[in-house]
Amino acid sequence: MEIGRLGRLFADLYRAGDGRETRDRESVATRACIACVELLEVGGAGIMLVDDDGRASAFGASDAVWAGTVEELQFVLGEGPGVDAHQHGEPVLEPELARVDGRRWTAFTPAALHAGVRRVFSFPLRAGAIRVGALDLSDGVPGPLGRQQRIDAVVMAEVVTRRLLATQAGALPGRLGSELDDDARALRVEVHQAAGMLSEQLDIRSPDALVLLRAAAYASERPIDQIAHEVVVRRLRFDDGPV
Amino acid sequence: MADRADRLAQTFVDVADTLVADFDIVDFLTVLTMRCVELFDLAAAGLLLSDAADGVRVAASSNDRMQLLELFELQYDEGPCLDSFRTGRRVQCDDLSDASDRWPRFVPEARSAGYASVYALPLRLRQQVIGSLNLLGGLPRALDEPRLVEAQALADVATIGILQHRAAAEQRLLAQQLQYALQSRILVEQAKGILAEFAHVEMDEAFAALRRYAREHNERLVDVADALVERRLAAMTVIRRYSV
Repeated sequence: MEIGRLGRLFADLYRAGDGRETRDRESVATRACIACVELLEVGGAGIMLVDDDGRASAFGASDAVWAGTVEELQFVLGEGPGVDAHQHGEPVLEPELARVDGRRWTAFTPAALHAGVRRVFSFPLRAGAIRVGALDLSDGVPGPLGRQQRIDAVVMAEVVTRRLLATQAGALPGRLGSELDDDARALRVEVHQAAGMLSEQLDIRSPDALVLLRAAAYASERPIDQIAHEVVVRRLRFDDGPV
Repeated sequence: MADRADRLAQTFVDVADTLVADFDIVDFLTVLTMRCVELFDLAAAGLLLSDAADGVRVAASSNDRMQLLELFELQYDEGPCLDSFRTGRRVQCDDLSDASDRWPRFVPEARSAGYASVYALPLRLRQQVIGSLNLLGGLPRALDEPRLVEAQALADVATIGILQHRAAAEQRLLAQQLQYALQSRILVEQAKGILAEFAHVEMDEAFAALRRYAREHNERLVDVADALVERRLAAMTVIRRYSV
């Protein structure tokens, strides 16, 4: 990695988005993932932000194929290497997903393999004792990370954490900084709106509505964003009411 | 001679160790002042750090006798530490017996406490000065140039340790704020969904109703959202007075 390219990557990571929320290129989470892919020379990189209660709150992915799949599955299933890395505060390295013990990630593993993911390496994102999520590296080919790659990945986890925390500096009290606040996709805004709608339709609590949505995504093998969008535009209901 | 070199080297190692592990900053600074007294054969040492108002406050001292603390506190208004902090330079007085017009209040107090020389070293990293290390000698000329260079090196390592500690604390604070803000936003989006479904309106209108209710009841948006999501507040109550 020559110095000029490294400098450009960091400059790109730290520049502010121009506020247009629909373009992935502006998402700070996506840009952080792309920087990881370039610097660590892996196929895909994803970020999941989670609070201490295990509630997923935001995500990023460098691509839809591997990284996007890993983040989607972890959100829908609530299990996976990143979930474990976040919970235990230690890296979780799985160089050969096809050989994973059947008891580990019983739902995540077959689904990830089905999508072509062959290896995953997850590193916790932390600010001291506060755990904020995980950085998930993935690829379509199996094999371990090199020693230098592993060292660089730990460094990139730190860089990513600082970059995400930097969005919060200067934010109004109780509010997200504008880079994340304007990022509806990273926040899965429609998923939460849909959960609210379902909780009204079915007279259940919103967390239970979210579980329903996740189950629907898993069962139908469609992305949860898609299902949520159908609910929000009123093409899909979960009760017997008219669409 | 070799023994002192060993002790000095050990001190550097111990101070550098604190840069890696999680450590207690107050404990660290206190131990540092005590090591200075031991290594440089001093009568006392103290560490003063900048406060919010461009002055200094004592952060650690080599012993907790009242007289010593008061001597440091006196330096909030006048004295070698304040000068060192403000200029970012070493400030020294090899013989306090002919320095009374330099610091008219500090010098008599220091002398009556038994100190004969004083050295204030800036805690500085490039352009940033965060405080001063105050070294007090029982005799005049307690520290010569080589010793002062050693002491400044210890001060430099301490500065890095303090800045690292502050940076880590700031990161933790931002992380807490980020997590709180993320959860608040999620609650607001869920509440919008609840209202949108109940009243069969678009998300924008649901949001407007939410904000209007919060304003009219003098409540925070996130609290109203939480009440809706937790079903302590009915959608009907929020929508009722909002006419499309």
